[in-house]
Order: sequence, then structure tokens, then C-alpha cells
Amino acid sequence: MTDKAREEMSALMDGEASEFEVHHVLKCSENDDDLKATWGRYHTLRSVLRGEMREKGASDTMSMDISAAVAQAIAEEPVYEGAATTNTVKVPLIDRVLRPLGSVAVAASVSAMVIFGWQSTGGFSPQQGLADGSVAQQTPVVQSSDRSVATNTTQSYTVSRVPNYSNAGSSSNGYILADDSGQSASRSGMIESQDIIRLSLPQDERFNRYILSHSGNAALNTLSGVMPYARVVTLKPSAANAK
Amino acid sequence: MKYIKLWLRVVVGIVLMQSMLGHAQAITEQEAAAEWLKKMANAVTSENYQGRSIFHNGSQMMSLKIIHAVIDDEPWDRVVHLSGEPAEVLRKGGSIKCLHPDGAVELNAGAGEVPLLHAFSGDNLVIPEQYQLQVGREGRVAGRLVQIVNVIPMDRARYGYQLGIDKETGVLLKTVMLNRKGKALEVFEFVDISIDTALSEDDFMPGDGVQWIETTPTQLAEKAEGDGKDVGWTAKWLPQGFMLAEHTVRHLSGSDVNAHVYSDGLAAFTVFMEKLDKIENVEGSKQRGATVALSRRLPTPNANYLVTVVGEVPMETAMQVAASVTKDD
Repeated sequence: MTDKAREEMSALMDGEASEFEVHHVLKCSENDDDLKATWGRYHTLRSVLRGEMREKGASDTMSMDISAAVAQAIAEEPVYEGAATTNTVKVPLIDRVLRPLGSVAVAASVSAMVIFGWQSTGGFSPQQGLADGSVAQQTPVVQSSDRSVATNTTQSYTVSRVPNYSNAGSSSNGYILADDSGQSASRSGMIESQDIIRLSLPQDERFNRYILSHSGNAALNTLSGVMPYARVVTLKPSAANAK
Repeated sequence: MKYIKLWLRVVVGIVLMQSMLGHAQAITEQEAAAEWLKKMANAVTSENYQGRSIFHNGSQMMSLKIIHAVIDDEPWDRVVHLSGEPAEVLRKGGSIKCLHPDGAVELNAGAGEVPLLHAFSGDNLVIPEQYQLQVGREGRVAGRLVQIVNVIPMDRARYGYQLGIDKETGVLLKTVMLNRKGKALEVFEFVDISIDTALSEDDFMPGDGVQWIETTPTQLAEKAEGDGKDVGWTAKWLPQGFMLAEHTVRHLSGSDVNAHVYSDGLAAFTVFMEKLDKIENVEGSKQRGATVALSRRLPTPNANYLVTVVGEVPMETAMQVAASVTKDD
């Protein structure tokens, strides 16, 4: 077990690990018994620190490991497909009809939310890449609806009105779906989340160089007046001198 | 029955007339706002002024000295940073430089004139159809009467503007960039200005603590066509109205970077494509004021590329563009 893995695990326990770190820890712990044991120890430690052990009063909970039992239970579970094909167990008709519907409803409620978010926000209209002319149209809207099953189920949503521009009485503003995370639903429906991993940037210099390189274009925007120049000045001089 | 039909006709007629009137009203409002923007665009090439202003980008606030004059029929700007590290931005027509204590950075890295963001300059004013104009209330900035004009985006892919235009001269005294929810991302506002002052080239000499170094634009960028350095790639999704404005290879810190500039006439973003020599931990995103920057690694069978989108657009727009970039075969 490396120090890095231990650090990442610690971050995971604190809920501070990035997506990349979570993947890494899970992968490492597959083959690393040492890491698994540490995971258990950390949790025991945390429980003790929080005083949870004392409340339960039982010392044997300290060493209880249910992972083996769970693994065994899964192994002993009959394979579902086998049961279906041999048809030894008679499933009542009502069950056979309702069970798939149940899973569809769950999937539909997820996809309906994604699609609802798109429709209500107006979404983005796709536009062909103009650079090379003959590019096939591909929109994130299509990608997200690929995952959906059926959207005919009736669902109730909380919809919140987006405040208008303070001075603009425009009717162009749409609605966004209020969800728990506080982000608009369209954001979650747009993009494969693993595509963009948020990390602290070791390459800040490169970023600043790109921003500077871009700012020359923005500076020609008459509408912003000299605002782009003010933006440029906010960049660190060290980045500016990198050339 | 007959009466009902008649009534229906009358009601439909009234509704139609009302909607037409409303439409006409919206058009005249657009035109009135467009007149203000024309006046503003003309002021850039006709008025001389100098003053002090503040700039706030949500996390930082700074004070600036602004000098603007028309010299040799070209607009010149000098923006002096009054707080923090000494820095100046000098614009002489199409050439823009950022000056720091130990050097200068050429900002207009593009090769030659960029046919971009010219919606509001020159004689013909073209408002991109993705925006709607609206004449707001009157206000006061730097002790002068201003007319507020709102530029409202019609979709979520871009930001809006609130402009404060001097009623007398048309000089732009206040600019606010707003996100979709009407929250200000960046505020630029004059606190003191004297318009129509006599200014000469001497007023554009760099001040103490910064230096001017001559650079030629060709050192920094070249047209990308047919030089072998071009990395063939495509953004398969662009927000509506955004078109390719420029395509160059830029030399940033020794490496050749492919840059595509897209603009809808007002806002612009640049997509950079750089070949990575080794797999680096370089993905991430950053937002400062209205500017977002976002990097994503694009692995191909033979090499790794880094796609970076930088621009004054919402993070969602930048993310979608970055996610849609694919390498050509």
C-alpha cells in the first residue's frame, strides 16, 4: 500500500476525494488486503472518536466484518437468468406484468427529469461544426435521451421561476428545474461526468497562458469597452512573463 | 348561433390586432436601443476622454486610469492599473500589448485583422439574432446622465450585458456582464471622467515601472493552413450563432498550439488544441469573472491531446464544446 493510496482513502472517508481518486482507491483495494484492513481500522477509529462504540456497549462490534458474509450471500444467490429460462418457479401473472413496469418507472423518472430539464430550459439548439462543413450533427440532447426508456409516466416536479434581469422585463427567460444539488437539471443531463474531472491544477501557468492568448480576441469587443483590458491585468505577472 | 360566430370573429380580430401592436412595439424598442448602440460605436472613433474607473469581477476589485483618444484615425487606449502590481494595457488601433515591470506581452496573437466582434463597430450595426435589445431606465454614472441599454441573450449559451451610455456623447461609461439569472459577473464603471479633453501621443507613453518592447505579430502566430503543424480536429457541437472567426497556430512557451476562435458577433471563445508529450495531470476548470477556462485530455490511439476552451461564455457552453471535440482521422 502506498502513501498516496492511504491519503486518497482518507480523503474518501472525509467525502473530499475527487472522482478520479475514488476510482483509484476502489481499484487499488481490489487486490490490496492491507488497504482493505486499513479501511476497516479507519472506520473503527472514527467510530471510537465519535463515541459510537460506547453507546452500543458491545465490544464485539469492534471486529465485526460483514464483507465476507455479504460476499458469501451473493455467491449463494441463485442466478436469476437460469431461473427464468428453466421456468421451474411459477411467477404470478400480476408480478410478471408489474415488475418490469416498476423498473421502467424508475428509469423513466430519471430520464424524464433529464428531458424535462432540457425542454423547460429551451436547451441548446445544435449547430453543425462550421469549421469543416460536413460533420454529422451530434447533440448532447440526443446523448442524454439515449439512456431513457419511456417518459409517459406522470411525474410531479418542482419548478422554480428564474428571476429576470433586474431591469429587463424580457419574456425570453425560461424555467429551470430545481433539484437537490442546487444545480440546474440540464447540467446533469448534458455531459458525461467522467469526461471532465475537476482537480487542483498543477499546470496553472499553462491555463494562464491560454487565457492571455484568448484575451486579445475579446479585447476587440466594442460592447465590453475596456473591460477585457481590465481582465488581462488581473492575470499574474509571472504568467505573463512566461513567454 | 350566428351571433356567436360574429362574436368569435370580433374576439379573434381584437386578439390579432393586439399581438401585432405588441410586436410593432417590440421592434421600435429594438430600433431605439440600436440607435443608442450606434451612438456608442461612433463615440469610440470620435471622442477623446480620460478618467478613472473601477472594475470588479466578483472576487477582486481594482481601480484603473483610462485614457482614450483617436490618433491617426485609430482608437488608442491606455489602461493603467492603479492598485496592486504595476501593469498597463496599451492599444494602438489593432495592436494590443500588456505591459508589466519586466516585459510586455503581445495580446493580439491572431494573424492580421480578425473578422470578429465587429458587430458594434463601423457604420453598419448588426445585432446577432441571438440577442434582444431593450432600452432601460435612465441612470447616473460618474456624475453624468446615462441611458441604460440591456442586451439580453435569447438562450442559455451566452451572457447578457447592461450598458450605461452617456446621453450627451455616447461614451460607454458602465458595462455589466450578467449571467442568465441576472447576477453580475463583472462590473466596469467610471467614477470620474472628463470627455473631449485634448490628448496627444505623449499621453500614451508607458508610465513608471513598466516597459514597452517591440514585437512583431508574426513571431507569435501564423495562419494554420498547409504548414504541417495543423492538428486536424473538429468541434462537433457549437452553440447556435457561433462561427469560426479565426484559425491559427500560436506559439505559447515553445509549443505549437492550434487555436480556433469562435464568435457570435459579441461573445467569443477560443478552443486550443495541444499535443501532450507525456500524460499529464492537466484536466480542470477555472472561472474568473465572466471568463471560463476548461481543459480536457483527448486520448487518440497514437497520441494524447489537450483540449482547452477559454472564453466569456457560461461554463455549460464551454463544457459542451470541449466534450464534443474529436480528432480527425
